[in-house]
Amino acid sequence: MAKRVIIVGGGWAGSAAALCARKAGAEEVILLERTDSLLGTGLVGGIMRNNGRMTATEEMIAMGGGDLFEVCDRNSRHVNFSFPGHKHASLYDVAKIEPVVKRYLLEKGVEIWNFSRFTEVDVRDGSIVAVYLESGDRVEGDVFVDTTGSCGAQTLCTDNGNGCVMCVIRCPTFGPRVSLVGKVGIKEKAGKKPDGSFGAMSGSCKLSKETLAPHIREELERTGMVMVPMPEHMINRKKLGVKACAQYALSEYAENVILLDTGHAKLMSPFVPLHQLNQLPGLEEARYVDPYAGTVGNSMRFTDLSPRDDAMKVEGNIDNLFCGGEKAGLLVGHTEAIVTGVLGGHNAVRALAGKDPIILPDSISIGDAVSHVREEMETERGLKTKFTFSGSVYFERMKEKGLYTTDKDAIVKRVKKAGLEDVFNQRVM
Amino acid sequence: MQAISAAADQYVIDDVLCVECKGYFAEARCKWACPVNACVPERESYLVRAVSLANKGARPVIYKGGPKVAGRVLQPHQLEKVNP
Repeated sequence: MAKRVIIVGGGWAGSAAALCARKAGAEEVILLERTDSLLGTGLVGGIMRNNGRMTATEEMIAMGGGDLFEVCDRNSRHVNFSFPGHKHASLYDVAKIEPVVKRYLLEKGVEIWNFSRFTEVDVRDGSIVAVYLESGDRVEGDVFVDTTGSCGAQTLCTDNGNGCVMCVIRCPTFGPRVSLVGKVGIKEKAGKKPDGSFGAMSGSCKLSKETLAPHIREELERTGMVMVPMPEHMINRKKLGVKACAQYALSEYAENVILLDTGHAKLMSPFVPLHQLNQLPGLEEARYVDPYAGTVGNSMRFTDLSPRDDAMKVEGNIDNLFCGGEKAGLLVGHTEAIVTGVLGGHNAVRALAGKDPIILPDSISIGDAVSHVREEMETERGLKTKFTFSGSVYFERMKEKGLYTTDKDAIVKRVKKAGLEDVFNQRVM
Repeated sequence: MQAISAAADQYVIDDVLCVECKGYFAEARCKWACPVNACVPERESYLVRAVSLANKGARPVIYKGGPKVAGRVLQPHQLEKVNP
């Protein structure tokens, strides 16, 4: 019988895991997604290749697992541009990326199930044999990857955040996230805000371009970015500290309204109440489109983080469970989700084939990040910190260790030296 | 059915039945009068009422892979209902 890989959760990590499981030779790969769309929080993302993400992206391309990065490149609205604290970024079009990724996965032979919320699991002798969907359908598999993320349920946001902000996760309609790792009885960890309280806030917000003054919209579409200074009485630097995305916790983001052109107008200054936003020149008519209640900030994140090793194998009493994305720890961002998803999906197939997993060495920034974040998740300080290639503490570490470079030839050389060239393009079964 | 009934050591007000002050005051008189703010009617939360589409019977929508998808409108497959 054909071996089957089941990926639970169709965000960036799950999409990457499914794709790489197929590339590694799995005959059947089923990607289960709770909602009607792939990409999850990727639907509000857009920012790629900024700062150390350039290095990680090129490393993954050299290792043969960069398909989705190249898909983003082909659907970029702006490339190689800078905004405060960030260099050589590109912005993919969030309004157009989902069908492109869906079609790409289908062409590579991934089977995609929408409206397929996982709710129960069947475990026999330490292995998962099947998952049940809310619809009652039973989906059997040989190896499983948990890429369910860490957003929702709605009560997570109402109890620990500013309330349900009606974000792209859409818990009430499609049902809340269920953690596969949690369902098999493995104890998960939760990230914390700097004050020690539960979870982290995502500050990502989109404005409708149609509601911006024509000159703002024109500048946004031409240059990729608009900065509107805030009057002193509206500046609130404290709110930078509660964001999940530490790479944007810079004073420029509190002192200005910064908009990036990701198809919609991505608002980089978090938690600006609409009535304040509307006092700024050119933003008098601005409206939030995601989350609709952008006035109070976005969804709660970074709960239910799985214990795992550096091969993305979930540690615990289950022998055929891997993970990726936010489930795999405190790595923030779409680039970070894709690289851990690739690793989880590929190693799941290696496990099926009875082969040793790929563990990336610390001479590769992705390998260093995966092991560093795993170690940091064991500490109280680490759980209050968010890690990303694109800024804050992990980007500093990349620079200190000499890992950050934008020299593609040097990156290819680095990957070759580690014996990892094109490794994620190799069939292992 | 009584709107106001006696419990062990307090009165209980059924806010659905009680119309004593309806239309006369902006705020319910019981809430206004209660010294410990105990008789604020429990609002039935939309969180509890939310029922997902799958729970209402929506079926998985399945897209099968393969090179045949190139350049074509994607046509999903529907699973046969397993638990009729």
